[in-house]
Amino acid sequence: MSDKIGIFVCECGPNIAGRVDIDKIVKEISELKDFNDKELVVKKHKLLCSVGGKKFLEEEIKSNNLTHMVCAACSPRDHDTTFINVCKKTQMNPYLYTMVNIREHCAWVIPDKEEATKKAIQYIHGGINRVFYQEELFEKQLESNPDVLVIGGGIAGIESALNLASEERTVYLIEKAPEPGGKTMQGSNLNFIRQKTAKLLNNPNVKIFTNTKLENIIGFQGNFEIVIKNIISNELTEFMAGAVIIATGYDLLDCKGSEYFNFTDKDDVFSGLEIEALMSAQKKIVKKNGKAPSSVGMAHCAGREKVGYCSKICCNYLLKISGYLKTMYPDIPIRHYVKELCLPNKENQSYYNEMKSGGVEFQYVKSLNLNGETVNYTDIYGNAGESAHDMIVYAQAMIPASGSNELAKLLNTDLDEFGFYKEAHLKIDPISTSNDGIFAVGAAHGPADVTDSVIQAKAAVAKISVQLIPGQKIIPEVKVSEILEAYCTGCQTCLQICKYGAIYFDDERAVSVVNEAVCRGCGNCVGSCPSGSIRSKHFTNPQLFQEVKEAVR
Amino acid sequence: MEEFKPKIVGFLCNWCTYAAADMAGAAKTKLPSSFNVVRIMCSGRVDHNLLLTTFFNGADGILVAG
Ligand SMILES: Cc1cc2nc3c(=O)[nH]c(=O)nc-3n(C[C@H](O)[C@H](O)[C@H](O)COP(=O)(O)OP(=O)(O)OC[C@H]3O[C@@H](n4cnc5c(N)ncnc54)[C@H](O)[C@@H]3O)c2cc1C
Ligand code: SF4
Ligand code: SF4
Ligand code: SF4
Repeated sequence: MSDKIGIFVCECGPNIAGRVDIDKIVKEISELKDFNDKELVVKKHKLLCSVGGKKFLEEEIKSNNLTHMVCAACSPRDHDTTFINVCKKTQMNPYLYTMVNIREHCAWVIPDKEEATKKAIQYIHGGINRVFYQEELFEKQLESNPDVLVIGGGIAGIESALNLASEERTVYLIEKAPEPGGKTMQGSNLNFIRQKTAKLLNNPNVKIFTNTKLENIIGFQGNFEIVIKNIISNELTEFMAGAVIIATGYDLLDCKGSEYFNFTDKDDVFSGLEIEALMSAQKKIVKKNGKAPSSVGMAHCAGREKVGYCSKICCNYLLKISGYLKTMYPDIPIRHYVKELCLPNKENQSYYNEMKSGGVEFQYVKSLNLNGETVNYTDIYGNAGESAHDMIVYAQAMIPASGSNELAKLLNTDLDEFGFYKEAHLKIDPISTSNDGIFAVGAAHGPADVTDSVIQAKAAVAKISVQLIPGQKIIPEVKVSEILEAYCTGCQTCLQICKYGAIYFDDERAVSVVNEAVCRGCGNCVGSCPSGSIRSKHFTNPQLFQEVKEAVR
Repeated sequence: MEEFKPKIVGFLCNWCTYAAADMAGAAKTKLPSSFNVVRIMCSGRVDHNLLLTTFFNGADGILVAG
């Protein structure tokens, strides 16, 4: 069958037609002589992407028995998929079609109409040349894997796992500590986290791996190949999953002995978490000698300036601890040293009011130094002050969980300027990451309380539930790269370059091979190969040369 | 003498600079007609072969942006 190519020039209403001479384009393209044995069908249309336009293209392809097609219209970022879908309804292979952008890169940017028309013809000419060098590609269908990997067994991870697990969806939850529960398990109110953890352990559709970390992951949404490692036995386990939830939580800034916090283990200086632990173990707050405190200072915001953000939860829990102290020791003085009070949730203001009217003091300060249990401060008027207490409770800044850098690298996701997992969009897509199918929830994103963590977990669950329907099919990228074995020297440069881990080395044949199910078709390996042995399908050098040749004619 | 209009080929990444060029187009930014866009899926795709062939074919300049 001889080649017959359809070239369809879109007017885009007045958008293109108002700025180039469409009829001249159609005429000159019809008269092109350098496609001797090939037949050209050149037509214009008012709106190719409209329902009528798509019908028009479909009928043209079918009735003319077209083998190739060029649509000269807007940006392929707008409508490439539209026209690929039209091709799929016909006998023509969609990869024998190409789109030429005569709107954004031509009609709209070249003010002179004659010049713009000439340019459009040049671009279309390049497109026709290119399309003859394109090859048929065939999409494969893959069953999407509905299972989910949850990394981190704090409240955010547990809530995600409990809401996702079903008979049709296994959840693999990995936790680096010996037990799930996270920071909340070290707190004073253990009822809810114990209940949740018990539910988790009893859920037959959640597979829990403690003392475990992620070892390797490759693939994409619906098709991740995962390897995890037990950090004690070094045992590896492999499985597939369709999505990943990062719920690795946070760590706390170590303030002991720092510039402003001069104390040792012997001093009665406690972090919020240490008080929480006391409450949980002994149901009371006492000094290290077991005696009741007689005067307590509460230091807010330790490390806030250093890390550069407010940790959101600390004012709240220091107030909570004041409440415990007031109940236990109604008569002792309690004094908070506050730089800026942060009371974000609706219940916190009334709690603050209650503490204040109950005699808890709030000293606003510009700066603060701890020397053992003595507080030296400068108040907001610049006056220096000193107060001696016999117990200090301080709130440390929340910082990214240790190991976040390595994990982000494995998962190919971005971290923000502070080292927390970065949102795809802070405001409108806050639980997605830069990598499709990978979500981050809870304090892994930055300061979050339990309510925030639960809301985020449920949001990720909702997203995964609609994106990863059991039994659903996915179509992996077809415009992938391939390595021509005969030219490959086995230098393995491409292995280092591929960000997606899509290339492996075949030891027996001593060549590199692309795993097509993982390759995204970015073409980075092509640019890196010293022997020119990699072809990126649909963006091969001969195809691009055709565009270039016309461009510089 | 005729004004020198350098023929420039821009290899633009689909995800960033090509998208930016689309936005520049939507804003009706003026471009000389001797500038030519070639879309690629990542600027890392560009190899020496592509660059040299572009020069051999007569380009005066190449812009790889991504
Ligand atoms: C003193 C104190 C008091 C608080 N009081 C309150 C309160 O009253 N109310 C409230 O709402 N919030 C409170 N909070 C905040 C609360 O602790 C957090 O909101 C909550 O713990 C966040 O849950 P998470 O699951 O995101 O993180 P985490 O609880 O930190 O859990 C993360 C889990 O992931 C694991 N992990 C980390 N990295 C990896 C890895 N690479 N691989 C595998 N596993 C990993 C960790 O071991 C941990 O188990 C308090 C915090 C502190 C410090
Ligand atoms: S296909 Fe593109 S150029 Fe044509 S009408 Fe639609 S938006 Fe406009
Ligand atoms: S960079 Fe090229 S030559 Fe080297 S291993 Fe990869 S494909 Fe082979
Ligand atoms: S094109 Fe090459 S670098 Fe890009 S994903 Fe595929 S194998 Fe990796």
